[in-house]
Amino acid sequence: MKKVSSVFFLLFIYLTLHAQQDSLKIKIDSLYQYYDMSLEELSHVKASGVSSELETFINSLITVASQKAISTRESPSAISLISEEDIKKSGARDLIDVLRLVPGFDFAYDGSNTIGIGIRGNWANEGKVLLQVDGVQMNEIFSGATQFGNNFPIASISRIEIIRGPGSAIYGGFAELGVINIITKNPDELNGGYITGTFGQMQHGSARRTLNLGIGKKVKAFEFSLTGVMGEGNRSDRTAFVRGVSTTISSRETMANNSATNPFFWNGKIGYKGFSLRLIYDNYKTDVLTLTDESGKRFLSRYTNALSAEAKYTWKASDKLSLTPSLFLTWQSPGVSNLSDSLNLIQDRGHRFQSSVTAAYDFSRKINMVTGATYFTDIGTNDADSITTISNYVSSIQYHTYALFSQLTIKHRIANIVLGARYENNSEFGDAFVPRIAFTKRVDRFHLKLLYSNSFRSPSIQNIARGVANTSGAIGSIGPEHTRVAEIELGYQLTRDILTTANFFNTSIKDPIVYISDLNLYTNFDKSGSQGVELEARMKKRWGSITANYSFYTVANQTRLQIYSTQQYIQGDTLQPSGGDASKSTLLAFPAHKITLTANVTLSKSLSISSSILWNSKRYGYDFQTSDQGTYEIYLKEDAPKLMSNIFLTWSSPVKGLDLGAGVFNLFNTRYNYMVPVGSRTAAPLPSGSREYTIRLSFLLKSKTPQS
Amino acid sequence: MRRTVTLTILMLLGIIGISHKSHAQEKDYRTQVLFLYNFIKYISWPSPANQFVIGVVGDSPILDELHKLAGIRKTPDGKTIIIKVIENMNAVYDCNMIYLSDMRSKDIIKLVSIIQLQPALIVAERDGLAKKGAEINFFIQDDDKLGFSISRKNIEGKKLKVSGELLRLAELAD
Repeated sequence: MKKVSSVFFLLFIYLTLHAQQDSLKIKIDSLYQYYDMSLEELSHVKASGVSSELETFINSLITVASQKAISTRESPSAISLISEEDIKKSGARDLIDVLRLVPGFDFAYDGSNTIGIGIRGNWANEGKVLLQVDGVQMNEIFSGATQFGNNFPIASISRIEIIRGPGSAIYGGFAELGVINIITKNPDELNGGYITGTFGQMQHGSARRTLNLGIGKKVKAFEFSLTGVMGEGNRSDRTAFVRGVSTTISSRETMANNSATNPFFWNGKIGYKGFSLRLIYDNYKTDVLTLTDESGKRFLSRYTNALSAEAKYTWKASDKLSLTPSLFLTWQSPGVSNLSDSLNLIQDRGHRFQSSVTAAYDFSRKINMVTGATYFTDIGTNDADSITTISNYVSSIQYHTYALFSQLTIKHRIANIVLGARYENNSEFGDAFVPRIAFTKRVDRFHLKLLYSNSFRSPSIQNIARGVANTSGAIGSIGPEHTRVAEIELGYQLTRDILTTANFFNTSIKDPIVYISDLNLYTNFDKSGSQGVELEARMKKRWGSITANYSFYTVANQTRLQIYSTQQYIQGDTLQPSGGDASKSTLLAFPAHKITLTANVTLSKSLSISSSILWNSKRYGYDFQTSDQGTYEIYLKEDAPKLMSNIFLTWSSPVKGLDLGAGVFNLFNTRYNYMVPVGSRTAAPLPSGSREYTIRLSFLLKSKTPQS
Repeated sequence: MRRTVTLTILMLLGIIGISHKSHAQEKDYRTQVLFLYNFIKYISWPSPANQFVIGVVGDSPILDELHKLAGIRKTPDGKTIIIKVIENMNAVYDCNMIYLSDMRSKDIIKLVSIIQLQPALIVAERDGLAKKGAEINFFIQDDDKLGFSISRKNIEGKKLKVSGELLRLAELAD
């Protein structure tokens, strides 16, 4: 711990001294000319003078944390903001490459062919983090899960706004531990089209062959866009442990060309004045080897198959009041199948029909209120028009939810205050009320955020269908889980180009909903949570940027949830001692410490280089080993600390709009495994790919007519 | 955990220590002076005089920037700009413009009562004072842009004329 802090301390000192020397070189404009500035120019002048690259970035207005546009330093949440430039220069292949550099974010394997996200040590895959694309929820509503890995059209992203803490008071059920708000390029930004082809090759097999496409244009009040990605890929080329049907059979099989991750994602929008209609279709397909027996290998195949539509109209009733009614519909038929046994196909269907209205009113420049109401119906069925619940088969599961939310933002000289709350009533599990309060204050270089929020995660269709009262499988209903998060963020702008932040958090989850794979059931456990700190230093200049961050969590002072801890695991319906020398303060799959360092450097007008380094401390997870008797057995594995690095070069060719990128991902060929974060999962860790050589060719065609 | 918190606080203190002389994003008084100069350009004062006096209430860093302005520029109609530090409120009578610094904001009532309808434009650093007697106050917008509120009622009461161009840029306090 001391070593880690020392490294950061030295890094901060280096960045500071470097920036101070650099600032001396800045030429000051002639004062005389300065006072000749026109009124038009005056309206763009910043209170702090001419903004540096960093200041322009951190003062850009975001809405994810409050629905009112506020700069990142005053937003009432712990915020990470990722720009299109960051993504493009880094050569990021998918969202995993982008999000794993975010403080507190990491990825793990659910044991059933899904790579999901964890936040601050807490497994957040099934409905505990909300992922939105242009405001449209991407979580599968049947289970709440979101799948990562060669998914989502990375080239279409304009920016990503991330809340590293709760967002339920605004967004409701799936925003319990975090919100990832992806904003794609709007028609005006596109103003033409682009095509990006990416080819990646691992040591022993193909990594990806994907095509990102986008077109869009705004003509007067009318606008349209279509962006998307399609192609194929493989999760890994390394060997994975594959269980047998009986405990006397197991093998290690290669994942090379055997572990499909095939994206197919399209996002279309048409808009006219305040009206917009958006359609998103996602059919991401993945395969993983799960079983082997006398008849051969068995794959578990998944596909998302979801179509979502959102129609909304923003009516500016006056300068102060705007009203936004919207309709949201989603039809989802996510599938899970076993390819060697096509009869064993499970195709669940989840539908949501939602109507909402949101009103925003500015009482004054300093006081704003956003309030709204939502009503939605979730319906779950399967393709046989029946759905398995714990006690019987029913034709469908249907429940209704209505919610009211309100938020008051007061910008006072002493501090900005945000008061908000959301009330939800669900026909299956009753009421939920989540308040939040936030104080933010910026004084010159310093900023402070004091944040407290309740949050909740409503049970999904699958949770309700397979929900039981306790870990023994007793009949009874499942309830929502409730979370309380307290955060303090301190920020200090060292120079015009360097911002440092420290965020301290304490997350306490009551009645967490956990999947017990041995029983194929969900139930509420007692308590879970984590506490820790996230430090970040960001330097941004014309020649590029450097970002370093450190994340730490512990459960030392929390009530430990056995199924997530390294102490015991559940097999059948009984607790087994882990038998390992596991740290008491670390949860399964997620490292206590993580450090990332990212640098983007513009070498010349046409050449830039980007590199990232990620180090994580040791992790724990269950794995399988073959005994002397030939049977396989579960054991607690301590995975040594890992260091990974990527490097990517981007070259803008003399042909206007044509860019070529080439890079190496997993430069050190680190044998990284996604570990399973739940102690009842009888699955081995999933190996990630070996070193990957990636080439990216992109062509941007801008319309000759100027942007409107 | 306690050790981590302690180390982090020490780190922050260290950072603050080594960087206290470096430039960072804070109020740039040159920007405010730029606005004051434009107020001179786009507002007309009734009484002709050979010089234009700007009084500053409070020991503010803006004084340095105002002296720089006065050293290189005259008003658009050729008057010399004089900068005056107001230590005694009764010495504001010959000022054409009075800048009320943030730390002296509570003096607004006294200042208004002394000036009454004299054609002296009160520009307050603190947001909200245009509703309490000042003609103009500054504020910082969400995206860090510098904005200003104008009280037309107060300005007209002092027989000052403000151009439509400036009003279009301003937030109206009344």
